[in-house]
This record gives sequence, structure tokens and C-alpha cells, in this order.
Amino acid sequence: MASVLIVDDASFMRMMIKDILTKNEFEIAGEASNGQEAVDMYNEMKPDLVTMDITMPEKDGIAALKEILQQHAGAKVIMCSAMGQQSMVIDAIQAGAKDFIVKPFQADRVMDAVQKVMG
Amino acid sequence: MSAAPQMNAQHVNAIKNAAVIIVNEHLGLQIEKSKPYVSGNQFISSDISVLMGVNGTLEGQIICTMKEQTALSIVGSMMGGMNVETLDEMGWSAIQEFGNWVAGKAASELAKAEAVIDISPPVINEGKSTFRMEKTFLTIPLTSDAGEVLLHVSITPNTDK
Repeated sequence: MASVLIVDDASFMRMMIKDILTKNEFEIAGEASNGQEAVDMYNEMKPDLVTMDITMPEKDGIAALKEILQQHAGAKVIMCSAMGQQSMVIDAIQAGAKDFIVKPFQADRVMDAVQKVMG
Repeated sequence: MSAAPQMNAQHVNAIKNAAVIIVNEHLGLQIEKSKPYVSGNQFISSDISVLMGVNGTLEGQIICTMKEQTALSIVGSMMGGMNVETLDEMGWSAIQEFGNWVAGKAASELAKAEAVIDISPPVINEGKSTFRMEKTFLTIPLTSDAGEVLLHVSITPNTDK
């Protein structure tokens, strides 16, 4: 069973993502509410996949993505943000994100992205 | 004396379109047509307000205000059509996220009008309050099955960028 670290400052969004993933038989490795927590938890748990919000206090999702990839080149991170303008998507993909989901999303969109990334 | 609004109509329309897309297409609530109006440099909010800062080629604020009952209906729709009777911690998080969705979609719509903005994490204000600022607020009313949501917007070109 693949494990996922969910990163979002909004507990509502974490609940939504957790709900979609657990219904599809993924294991939740943990939940982080800012970029710094995400980096720390990634190092500790080495999850198979991360869903990463962008706009967050402490450290934003793009900075956290870059830090995780510096230490773990093979990390699989899917960005998940309400800021879906093209420039933001390009920044994230160039920084090494595997996919970009724009909020609000449908469960199908999340599962398509997750299944594609997990191969 | 309030200053004349310096907001670009294209920018206001972009924000209005964003709110309509979120409420109508994503939450599935019917929306009545409405026109933005000038509120001056202060307004009195409804029961619940979501405050977000705008930064980039435009700067200012987007304040989204609504009655508690409207917030409960919106949160219920966000949770997939649940009946929500009180706002618990998850409900507050959801209404904050609603503001985030509208502002995030507004950023995408504004990008089409060549404006590049970032949004600060939303802050909630509970209770009726008077909001004042030096610049003028434009109000975009959105009446839907959930009730009325008012988007008070004040965004002007950022002279530093």
C-alpha cells in the first residue's frame, strides 16, 4: 500500500484529500500544515508520495518542494493549489513537481494524478 | 470625501467571474445576475468575513462577507451536500478555504488580463465589523441559493512593480 504525506495549511483540505486517498486504498503517512513541517516529516517518514499546497505560512510549498528534492532526488510531489495560473504551474513543474492539481478539484482529478505519478 | 475608484473594470470583472465559477460551477449553486457598486472607503460587514491580501502587479484586499446561514450552506455544499448546523473547527477551515478558492481563481482570471498577483493566506473575522481603508472599495454582490455573499474589493496597480 503506497503511503502519502498530505501538506496543506487548511484542515478542511487535508480532510478532503485524506478522504479521497483512503477510499482508494492509500495509506496516509502523515499530515503537515506548512512547508517546514512537510520537509521535516518527509525526512522522517520517506512517504511514496506527497500532495503539496503552495500558499502556506512558515514556508510555502514551492520552497518545500525544492528542499525535499535537494535531499531526495526521487521524491514524488504533486502540487495542489488554488493558485492555478499558468506561471504558477510552470514554476512548480520546473522546480520538479510531477503534476499540478487546481483547487477546488473533483476526486477523479486527484486519483488520475496520483495513479499517473505512481505508475 | 472618498477618492474616485481607480480600479480597472477588467480587473473587477475578472474577480466577479472567478467568484461565479466557484459558486456556480464548483458548488453547483444557482446565481442571480448582479452589478458591482462603489462602497466608498468603509463598509459594515456581515456575520463572517474572510480577509485576503493581494500582492503583485496589483495590490490591495479582497474581503468576502456573508451571514452565518450563508456560510453554513456554502460549507455544506463544499462537503458534498451535507447539512451543516454549526461552524466547528472544520467548518471554519472550510469557509477560509472558500475564500482561498475564490481568490485563487481570481488570480487565474486576472492573469488573462495581464495582472500577476499572489494571495496571502486567508484570515477570518467573526462578527459584524466596520472595515475602513484609504482607498475605495468596490462591492460585488453574489446572490445564490446559499444566500448573499458580498465581495468587497480594493485593488490598484502596485506602483513599486
